[in-house]
Amino acid sequence: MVRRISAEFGQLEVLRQFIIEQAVGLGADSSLTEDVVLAANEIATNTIEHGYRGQQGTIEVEVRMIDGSLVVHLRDRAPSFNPTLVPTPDINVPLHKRRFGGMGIHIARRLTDELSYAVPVEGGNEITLVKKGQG
Amino acid sequence: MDMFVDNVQGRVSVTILRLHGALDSSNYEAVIAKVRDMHAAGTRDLLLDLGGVPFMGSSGLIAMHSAALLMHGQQSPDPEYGWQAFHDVDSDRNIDIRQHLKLLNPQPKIARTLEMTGMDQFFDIYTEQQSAIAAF
Repeated sequence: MVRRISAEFGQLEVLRQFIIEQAVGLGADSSLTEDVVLAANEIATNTIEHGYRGQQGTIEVEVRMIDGSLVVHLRDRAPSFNPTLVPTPDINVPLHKRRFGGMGIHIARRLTDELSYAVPVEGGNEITLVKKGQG
Repeated sequence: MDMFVDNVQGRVSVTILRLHGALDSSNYEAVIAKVRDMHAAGTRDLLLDLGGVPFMGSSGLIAMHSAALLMHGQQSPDPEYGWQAFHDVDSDRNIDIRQHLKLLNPQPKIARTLEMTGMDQFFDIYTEQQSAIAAF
């Protein structure tokens, strides 16, 4: 099932709840769901802040279960941005030398088994998050 | 998300800011503003109670980072200038974060986010309020 939300921070809760409801319906384990929900939240947050940059837009969310793995696709029409190319941050930098933020993609990578990027035929971005089930 | 404030007298007067609800990009600036107001009103030792936070996105880390700077008397960036204002902050001054801001009862997945991002290195984290208060 696919849900489209407005690219607004206030809609992140809607996105999270949709993923949870779909995952439960597909029989996904709660630990898989929790990780994917946070990962999707981070990707969507980046899309809203850095992709659309205050412009109107939508984020399309699709949740699937494939061979025991929970799969979430996030699609937008923002300018192209490939999160897989973002370098891993140094988490040992002292706080007084840290830039604020910049941890969203790192969190999404840590919580998923696969994070992939594609450019849809119609443009924009498609990020796919995969969390493998146990066994 | 709701915010509640308590004051407890330990060795010093400690203000507890209790957060209830999800913490994400839609509301993290409200937490920063609250801490700013509290510091302006005289709060010098802050215990951030995360026990009522079932979800925290990475924006919550910005709120904690900002709160730490504010409690140390430094200005956090003005969020009106957007996230770039946050990204551009850099300081050569080492500050003892642990002294004036401590964390209470993060739920396991919140604690995991703190660990994943290295933020757990900078805060004393307690599971019991009395111990936290006594540590200030």
